[in-house]
Amino acid sequence: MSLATLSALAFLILFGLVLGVFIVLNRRRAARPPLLRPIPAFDRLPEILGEAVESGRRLHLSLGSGVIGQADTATTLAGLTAAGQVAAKAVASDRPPIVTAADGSAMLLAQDGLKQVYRQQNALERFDPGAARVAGLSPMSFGAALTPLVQDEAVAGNILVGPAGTESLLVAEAGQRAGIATLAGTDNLAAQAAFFAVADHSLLGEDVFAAGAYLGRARAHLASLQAQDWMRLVLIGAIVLGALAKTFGIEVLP
Amino acid sequence: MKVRLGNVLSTSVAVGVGVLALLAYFVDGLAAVRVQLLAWGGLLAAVAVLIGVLNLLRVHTRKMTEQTPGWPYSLFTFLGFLLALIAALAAFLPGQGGPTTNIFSRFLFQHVIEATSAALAALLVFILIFAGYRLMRRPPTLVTVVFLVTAAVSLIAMAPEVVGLPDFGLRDLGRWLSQVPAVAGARGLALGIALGIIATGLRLLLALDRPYGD
Repeated sequence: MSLATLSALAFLILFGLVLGVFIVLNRRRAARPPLLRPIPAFDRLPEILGEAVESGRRLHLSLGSGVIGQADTATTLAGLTAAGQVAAKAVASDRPPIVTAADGSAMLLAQDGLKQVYRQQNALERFDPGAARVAGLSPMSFGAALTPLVQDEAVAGNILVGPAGTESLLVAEAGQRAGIATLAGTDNLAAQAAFFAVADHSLLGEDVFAAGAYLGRARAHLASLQAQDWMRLVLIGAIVLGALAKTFGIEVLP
Repeated sequence: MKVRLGNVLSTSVAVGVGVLALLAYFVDGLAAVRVQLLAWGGLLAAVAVLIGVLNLLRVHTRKMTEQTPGWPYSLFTFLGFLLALIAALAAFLPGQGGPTTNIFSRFLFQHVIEATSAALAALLVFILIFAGYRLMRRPPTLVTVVFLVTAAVSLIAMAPEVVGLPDFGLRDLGRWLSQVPAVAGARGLALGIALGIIATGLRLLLALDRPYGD
């Protein structure tokens, strides 16, 4: 096994151990959940939800243009978590939320997630399988298909969390024209910069993976957020040590 | 607590396959297993594409039958689907290429899909310019000011040089911005995203997150 592979394995095991430690710690002090730094986009979510309920319109939750089984699987799953958490808060409104995806697998998972939410709220009879749908199978067709949706489906707010490229700006712009709020988060750096300008509330960096901890306060998600912070410190330490070693001409790796 | 057999089965399969696929990256002897798992995954992904197409058609059929707002656009979706299907079936004609390489499919790709995609991509430029203008109308914050100034300096730095017109060092500043703070920031964000991806993967492998089954 090469040194790079070995270090990747060691990093994964360390990450898993830190995650396990935080899960156990959070279980012990369940009454006192950890403090989270404020993320303005998540803070504004109740406002968007309230607007949807009061106006009798629906929320549009989008998983982005990612495909399950490819490089953006984890981000699509983060979007699924966010969609599930938001849907749990919005199913009580007159018009239930709709979830859009760009892939059959993501759509099926979203359908399952929505059904679970309705079952948990004893409202399974209100569940509509058509609420989770494929909007388009390529990024550009996906972006274009979301544009008329804002008007046609009486949308009160767009929540786009998942792997989205700049084509998803089309839905944020459609939201601006319709006067509704858009919350957007993606792992694509160029799209993040564009969303900062176009969307009302944007998620930066790894905030896109924090939805489960912020919206649902799930123990596993809180623990994984804490583990991420600790592993970030490990990475920073490794980068600083590497820079110092390089500066002083010390050869660390063969 | 009621435990569903289906949930136990789906969780076991997902965790087992995930752990095997991950281990195969570190254990050479498992490489063949990973290849086989990925082949099965590819097959399932192909079925998922078909399900996606059927779902798309179902949604648009419903829109047309219920005549919900915007239903005429659904006609175009159907028309596009039929045209693409006919073009792919043309592969069965003698002397034609494969379903995506025959002359009809290539015509559709080049003159419809690529052309409309390019038009939409061009539209994004205007959306971004309007977004920048809207940002300027919002109450200024430190972040929006930094964002707008950086964008303006970068635009000037990338614009064609006019002979005889002084740039007041903006080109050098733009180059420095894109090579130093932008790269550092992008790497920081990318590291954070990578940690988020690993955390999501570990939650799945430890069955703390179960997006499958209900």
